[in-house]
Amino acid sequence: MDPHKILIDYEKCTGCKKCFKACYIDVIVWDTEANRPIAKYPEECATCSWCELTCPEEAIQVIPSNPVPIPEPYPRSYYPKSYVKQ
Amino acid sequence: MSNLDKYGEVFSADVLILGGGLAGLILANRVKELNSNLDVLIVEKATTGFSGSKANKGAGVMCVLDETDDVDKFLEFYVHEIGHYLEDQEMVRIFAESSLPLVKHLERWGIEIMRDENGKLSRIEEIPLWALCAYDLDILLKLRKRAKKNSVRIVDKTQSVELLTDGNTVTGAVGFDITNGVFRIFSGKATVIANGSCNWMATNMWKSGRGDGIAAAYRAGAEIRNAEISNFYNIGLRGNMSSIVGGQYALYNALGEYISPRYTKEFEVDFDINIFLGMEEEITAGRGPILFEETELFVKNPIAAGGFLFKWDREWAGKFWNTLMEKERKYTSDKGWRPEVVPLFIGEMGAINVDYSMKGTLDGMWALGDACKAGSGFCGATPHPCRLRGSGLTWAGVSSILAEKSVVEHAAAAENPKVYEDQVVRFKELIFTPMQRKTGMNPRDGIRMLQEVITPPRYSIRKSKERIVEALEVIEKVYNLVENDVSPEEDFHMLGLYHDLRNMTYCSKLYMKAALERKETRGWHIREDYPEQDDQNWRKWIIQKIDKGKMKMSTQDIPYVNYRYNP
Repeated sequence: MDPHKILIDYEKCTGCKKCFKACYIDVIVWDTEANRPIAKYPEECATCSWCELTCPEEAIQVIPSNPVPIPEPYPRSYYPKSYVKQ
Repeated sequence: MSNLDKYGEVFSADVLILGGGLAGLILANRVKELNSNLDVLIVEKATTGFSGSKANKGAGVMCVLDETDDVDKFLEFYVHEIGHYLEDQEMVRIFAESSLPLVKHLERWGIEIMRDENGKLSRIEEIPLWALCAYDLDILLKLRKRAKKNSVRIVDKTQSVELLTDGNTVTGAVGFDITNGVFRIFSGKATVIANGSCNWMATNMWKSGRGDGIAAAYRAGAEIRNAEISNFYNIGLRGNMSSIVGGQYALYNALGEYISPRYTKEFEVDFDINIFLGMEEEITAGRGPILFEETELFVKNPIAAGGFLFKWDREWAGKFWNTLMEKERKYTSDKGWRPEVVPLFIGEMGAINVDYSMKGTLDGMWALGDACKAGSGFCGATPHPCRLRGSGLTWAGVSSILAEKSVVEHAAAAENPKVYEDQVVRFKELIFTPMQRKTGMNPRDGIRMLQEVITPPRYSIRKSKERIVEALEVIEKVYNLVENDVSPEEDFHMLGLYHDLRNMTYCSKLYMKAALERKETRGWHIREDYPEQDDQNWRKWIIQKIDKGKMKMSTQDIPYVNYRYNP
């Protein structure tokens, strides 16, 4: 299962750092040399889209990946009549 | 403190606040208003103004009792429908009476709270006992701006890991910068834990609450109370894991039968445990999956009609929710009519034991917001948010204003706290030693192992001794892996996750051990091996405390002789 995608358009990005600050779980890190964000840890992304909402250049986009692989609520090993095939 | 700078960056403050979410920011601003000479420092893992799980990522609604509401009626409702006689009734009353003063502070600070044309706080007609007042989702940015103006200092991107102590007094905290690994030492005359509940990173909005403060307080020797009253659920779409508020009224089984009336009362203020037990019953009988029928959602369902609350457009809430809902529709993996729903694990373990001024059982330590809602006795037998939509945000603010006097008086009178060099050295080693493990298990895999024995309904909705013991075995295994085998892969973000995993392991153990201890069924604590509510033996709160490295369990009698409502 692929993690969520965070796409950054580096042509549009001006390095204002707002997305870096807006990310509340450290998905986006700051490349100090390039003065640009890197979406380094998409595994932790909560798809809240605050990075997108705060970007003045519309340079960042979050694309959720579904279904989220949650621990199965109703595995057949525990519920023999479950519809879940696993 | 001066000799400590060889170990890392050293900060001292009169009031040290761990967590820059709603609770931390409200307290910081109130302390400055009450005594501008006090030096206030916020330490935040993310960026203050954006952090925290709900203030800027939910509906932006607070549950408030205004001048026209009847506190006694609210209390009576709360005891019967939510607390199930396990709540601290005095705490519930204090909450109700303090909610309007909170609104007044916020409005004084320029936070616009939704009122109708007559100046009354917005509310849903069908829920007559309290108002649901909305604000816009830039609230944290406004509070941060105000805090900065009030000379509150803020250190962002810093994960606090352990509390510093001098005997039974908390004297500060240590942690590290998650971007570059710089070690930071903070001393505080008053140390305030405001960094949230433990949600095991299971569900999107609640992903930032990882039990940091709860586990650190426990390790420092503070008491934990009501840990078994953890873990709320919503109903969520499996295709995108979005929560459907009011979804209990719109459920069908695979046979096409409308099942909501079987398991839900005609009017519920929020999800009750019976709908989740009912969903499981349907699955057990082979009538799954459970399906969501949107057209049913708005029939006799005031909660789903919550949109009528919003009497003017909120700029940030509008942008946020439009974006989120558009993505949920576009990227769901289940586009069919009647999509599948599952119990959506929220979490919200927040069990630091505090008194009515939010002071913990160690001197110099307070806890606010999600970190202590159950521990305060407020929740009773229903986990936070206690079937009261918006009560989490209100609690964040109310707990702050309940703490302010005690925090200010203590910080103004206390002498500089003593920070012991050997303790700092020991904690620094503890924090960074895992970085020496070049290879090993990824912290994410450990978190997944915990999720597997916490989040499924058979562990946290319907419990039994057998499954709790099974869960505890896995938790113990993860604990040993954390101690010896989990590797942050030489990366400070992953070191942060490593410590999150460690904290979640502590919270898991506290939760499951307390759940094992409470041998009765009450509210959301369902034990299939003890199916009755046992008022004779279990009108007690479970207390957990570390003693010589081991968890010591005890109980505290509820002072119900003073209570107005009893079984």
